[in-house]
Amino acid sequence: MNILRNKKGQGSALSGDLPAIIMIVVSLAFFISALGFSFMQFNDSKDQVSMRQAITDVSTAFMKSNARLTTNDLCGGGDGFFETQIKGFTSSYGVNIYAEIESIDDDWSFPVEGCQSTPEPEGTSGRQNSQKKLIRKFPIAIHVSDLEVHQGIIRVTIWK
Amino acid sequence: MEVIKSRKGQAHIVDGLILLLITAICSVTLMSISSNYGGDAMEKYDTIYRTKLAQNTLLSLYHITENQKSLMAHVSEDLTRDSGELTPKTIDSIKQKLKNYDDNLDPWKFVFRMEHLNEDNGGYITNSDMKYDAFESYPKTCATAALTYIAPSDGCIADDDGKQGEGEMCYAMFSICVWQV
Repeated sequence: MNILRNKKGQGSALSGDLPAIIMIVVSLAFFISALGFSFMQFNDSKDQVSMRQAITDVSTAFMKSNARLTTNDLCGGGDGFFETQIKGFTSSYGVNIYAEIESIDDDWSFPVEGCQSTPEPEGTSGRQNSQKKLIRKFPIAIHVSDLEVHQGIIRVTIWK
Repeated sequence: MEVIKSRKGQAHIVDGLILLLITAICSVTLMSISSNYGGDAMEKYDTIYRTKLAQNTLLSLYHITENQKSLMAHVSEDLTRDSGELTPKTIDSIKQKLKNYDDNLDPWKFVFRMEHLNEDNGGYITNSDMKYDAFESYPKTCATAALTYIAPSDGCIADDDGKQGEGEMCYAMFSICVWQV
């Protein structure tokens, strides 16, 4: 009897429901935090995949037009290459697109007739400040006439 | 009675510990899945881009003009004139073009290879420090095309199948390989 009273008097914190409640709360908090973190990470990865797909598709569109692309094709408006083949990616991937030709041909320098770059998208904060940005540079031949093409480097930038 | 209560308390603690363990495992699994999500897809798009870049560079070699003649026309002429070998001038020209790519497309590296030639006679031209032996096992993407040239006086260089071409024309396979450093 005395022993039982003594144990009751000590009143251990590990007895009763309190430890179990604490552990349940900690477990749930940890799980919810992990869930939130995973969700953020998942969304981030999804964004990155989408961006990677967009830059691959946009670059491929330019590469397919290698040696057929003219400087006029980069200008916006009308039914040109930019309007028909590039601008559509803006809405389908939700990205802004900007492409600029850099010259490597010795006898080829800007300004020339046509456009050196695609139009800068309107209403965007600008590609310089964007945290989500991808750039690809690759060789491309610019068509001047059937007997004259100029080798250049094009830089394609996409951002959100 | 107190002993029973104490045991009940211990049982709650054990239940709590099990719950803690389960949530920890679930959370770690969830974080692991989410952190790995998209890895395969991004690798796939990178591979597509590498392939397209190799094909595009190959195509560009056809379009590079020097004195109104494409670089591949120079290569073709060299093979015709010099028993299927490239002249140092053409090799230098290809090297210069690849170097231009290197300067402008860093971090991409390129190799121009002609299958019937070895490293000594211009079969392996690169803008990187990569040695041929190491290159064979290096992860890269290549695009291959056939080049036609007029048979030199001593005939075409036979390929592995013993085929030399057809009539007065010879065929040579060449490829452009790209990788990122």
